[in-house]
Amino acid sequence: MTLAKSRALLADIVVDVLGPHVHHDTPRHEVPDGWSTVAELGWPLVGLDEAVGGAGGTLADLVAIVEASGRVAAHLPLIETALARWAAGAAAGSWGPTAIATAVTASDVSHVERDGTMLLDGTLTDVRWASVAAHLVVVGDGWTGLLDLPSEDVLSERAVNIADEPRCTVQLTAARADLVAHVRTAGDLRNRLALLRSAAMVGTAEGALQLAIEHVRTCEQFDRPVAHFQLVAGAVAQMASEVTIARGAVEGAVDAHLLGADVTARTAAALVTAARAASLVARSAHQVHGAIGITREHALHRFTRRLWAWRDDAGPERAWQEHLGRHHVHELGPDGFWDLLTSTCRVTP
Amino acid sequence: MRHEIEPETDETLTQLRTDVRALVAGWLADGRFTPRPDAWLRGYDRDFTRALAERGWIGMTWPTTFGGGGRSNLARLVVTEELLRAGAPVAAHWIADRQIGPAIMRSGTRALQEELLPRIAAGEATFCLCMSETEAGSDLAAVRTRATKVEGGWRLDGAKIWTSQAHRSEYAYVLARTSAGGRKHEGLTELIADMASDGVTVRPIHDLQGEHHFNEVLFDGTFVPDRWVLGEVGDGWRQVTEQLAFERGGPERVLSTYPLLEALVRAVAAQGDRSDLVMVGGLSARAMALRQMVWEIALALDRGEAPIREAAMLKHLGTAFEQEVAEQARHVLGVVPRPPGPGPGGLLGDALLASPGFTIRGGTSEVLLGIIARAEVAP
Repeated sequence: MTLAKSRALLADIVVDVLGPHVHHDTPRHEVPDGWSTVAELGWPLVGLDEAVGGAGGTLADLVAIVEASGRVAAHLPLIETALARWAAGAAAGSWGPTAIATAVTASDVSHVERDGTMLLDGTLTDVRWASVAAHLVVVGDGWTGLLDLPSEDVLSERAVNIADEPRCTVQLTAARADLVAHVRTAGDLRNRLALLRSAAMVGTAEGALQLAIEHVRTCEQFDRPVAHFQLVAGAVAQMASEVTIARGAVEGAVDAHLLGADVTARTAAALVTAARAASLVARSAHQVHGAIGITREHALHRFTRRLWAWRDDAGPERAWQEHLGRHHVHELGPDGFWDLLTSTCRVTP
Repeated sequence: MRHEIEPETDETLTQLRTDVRALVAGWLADGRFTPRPDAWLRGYDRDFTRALAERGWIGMTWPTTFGGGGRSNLARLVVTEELLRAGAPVAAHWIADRQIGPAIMRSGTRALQEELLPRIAAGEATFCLCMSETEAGSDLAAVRTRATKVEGGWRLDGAKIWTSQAHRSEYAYVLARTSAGGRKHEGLTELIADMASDGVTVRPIHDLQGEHHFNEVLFDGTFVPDRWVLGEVGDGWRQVTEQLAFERGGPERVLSTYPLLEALVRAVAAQGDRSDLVMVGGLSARAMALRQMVWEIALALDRGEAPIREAAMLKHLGTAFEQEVAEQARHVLGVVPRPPGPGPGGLLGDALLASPGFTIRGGTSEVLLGIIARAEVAP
């Protein structure tokens, strides 16, 4: 079986597993339905070495799972837990198999060491799934700290983004954290989050597109399916084109991560492309659905609210765009950018 | 169509890229060509074509038994993208190399392959495309040029238009109607005509830059021998649809304004602000994603597939990008667009005047979106 076929099979399995667990109204600060199934299947451990308790497979497999989860607009802390386990390394080996975890970069957090542990002080904003997580991984400049949640030193103010996903402000007051082996940099974490979020956007956009296609095939106006009208058909074609190019950009970024070459540049390109697809698909999918698509009852909003939320979830899309532009103009120049452009990593599919 | 191709490695592709750059650098140093945008349409130089042929860089994907290189579409991509970036004059052989040779490989008889492929690969036989007519552009199946059966072959009668380089091509690929009465997509046939035959008249059409690449081509009783029918009589529509995957999925649908993008980047480096960096980042991401698509299409071609949907998407998105580059360059170069020539003003002017053609030639964006939509919505 070719790699492409096995990934497609994996995606089908993901969609089948998640199907029964995708609900219309998701509770905000609870362990989601279906999480224990996902955790027991080992999905948050995919791409991690079996020697450190991972499930084996590569980052490409994890990306395929994340994208497929997006296609059904699943409400799961899958990216967050996978990233936290990746950032914590061997220290995550003691976590329960269904533990939810989340990782952050420690931009405004100070740390002191006392009696073999660390004390952390500071405020972390928009921490993903902090209200439900059992473990928080803080990746600083040359250090990594692990906190178990909930904790009396850690105050989480519960809030959500527009997709009803927990995004909490976390106040650390002399919070005791275990100092663990520092295996990932903040930059590594940002890149991996951006890659996974891009994959999630591609999958979610594909899901919205499929809803739109089903709608334009079946809904009739003026005695014919609305797909008949050129402007509507054109909108479907534009969405399909943007989703396809974004999927390719994500694959290019996966290759870069696997090879360790041009990682930030290719991640930026993937995120910017996926965010652009997300914007277009969110707008066009609603447009072709007409009024029914802006009801609570219809499934479309579960996809479009995620698309709107996720474009800037791994840092502002504009910042990634500026970073890539700066890299092109001031670091690579025309010759260096051409080399980057033409350096596709895979010779064989 | 599958034949054994030499497996590529990163090393072989890198070496190929280095070799192409060396040739181009040599020609530039000797002042033998002026880089320009859209050179695959406008940069016509038979000497350069022969120089590429001598190095085996025409017909790279055809079997060596037919004078080809026996290499992959990935290898062809490496060569063509380096030439396009350099704005090198590849127009003379472009059509034959890109789509006619592959069409002959897919549908031609062994005798036809042996007759024409080596001459194309040698840079001696060039082709123009006699497809569109005044009443049949986007609606290509509506062509009225007739091919009537005669002793030993066919008689061509009709008028084609928008035929680039017809005035200096040895051969024409012709889409003609061999039978009427059924649905218009039935009864079409692909043929090859010798442009030096009796009954062929070429009339120039100057484009808005004042350049001559377009032509009308009139066929009045032109004889085409049986052996120059491509594929099956009456199977022309299916065959031409496959050919269009080759025509639409390549780097020339992304890189037509690349020299202008590099000028834009140099201008931003010198005097750009933060918003210019954001803009360049947007163009950079797009270019990288488009190049990824071109790569994937080349891989699909190497697997023997005809990626019609992906090629249509690539052409639609790529040509929109080419136009966007021209518009953004206008904002940062700070020059008045001038008639095509050296300097930033001439480069900008050249790109702007060429830009309407990008989304029209080879299938308008509207037609492409229709193709994509039908593929998506079909049950």
